[in-house]
Amino acid sequence: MNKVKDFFLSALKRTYRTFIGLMKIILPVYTIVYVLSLTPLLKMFGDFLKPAMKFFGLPGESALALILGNFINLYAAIGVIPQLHLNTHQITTLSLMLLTSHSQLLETSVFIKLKTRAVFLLLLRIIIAILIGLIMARIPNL
Amino acid sequence: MIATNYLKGVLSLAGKTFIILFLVFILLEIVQRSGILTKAIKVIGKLIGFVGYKKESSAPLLAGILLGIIYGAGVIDDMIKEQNIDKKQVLLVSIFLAMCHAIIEDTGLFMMLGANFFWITIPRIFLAFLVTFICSKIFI
Repeated sequence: MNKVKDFFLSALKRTYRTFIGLMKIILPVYTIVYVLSLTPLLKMFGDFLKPAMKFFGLPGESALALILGNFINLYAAIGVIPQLHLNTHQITTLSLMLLTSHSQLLETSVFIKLKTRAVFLLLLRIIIAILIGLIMARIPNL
Repeated sequence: MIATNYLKGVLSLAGKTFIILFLVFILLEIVQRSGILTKAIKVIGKLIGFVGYKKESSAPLLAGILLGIIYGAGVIDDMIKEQNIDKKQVLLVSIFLAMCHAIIEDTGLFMMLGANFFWITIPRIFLAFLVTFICSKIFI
């Protein structure tokens, strides 16, 4: 019985610690994007990037998730995505692109620390993410 | 109205995130406590040879796949030093992990947002193997 209690307590502790860490990023990003969505700024940003995001079958605003996801981390992107009103196919495309290329500042520095070809890996991830987006936009709806 | 919408959005996102993380860590606790890990390292060691990996690369690879690059960095670095893993193997491990890591947590979080489970797992793992294989033939 103690083992079961210990098991759940350990999982709960790790959940709590990670949850707090995630919320410190997700909440401010969610709030800022929510405020921006009340102003014309988000739409202006979206209109500006619409021609580029069209290639991935995504609305212009979703570029914000890609930018924040790559420069900050996935949790920043998670603060944006629920506010983009995407369909399943679009969420899946955006997720695959982000899962392939994200947190580039932090993760590239880990690769530098491992003394491996960090710049090659950085470019590889960005190129593969773009290719995945192009392919996903061309397959029939999920 | 604006405030209620905001609060609803925040609470739903926070609630879902907590539930997903709890499920993720239950799964990770099971994996880490059950001794599956040592068996998995052996099995993976035998399976990954065809994409250019040596046996000793399976432990850092599995650490990155489960924990991710940032949380796994310390463990991965230690394993590489302890087992004297050579530069080519470190690059091959890094290529796979660059494309695919923290597979339980990240997959859970993006499923929560509404992504399709099959599409954000299987093609990603397949692509990571494919790119590793190509790189092991061309670049090194």
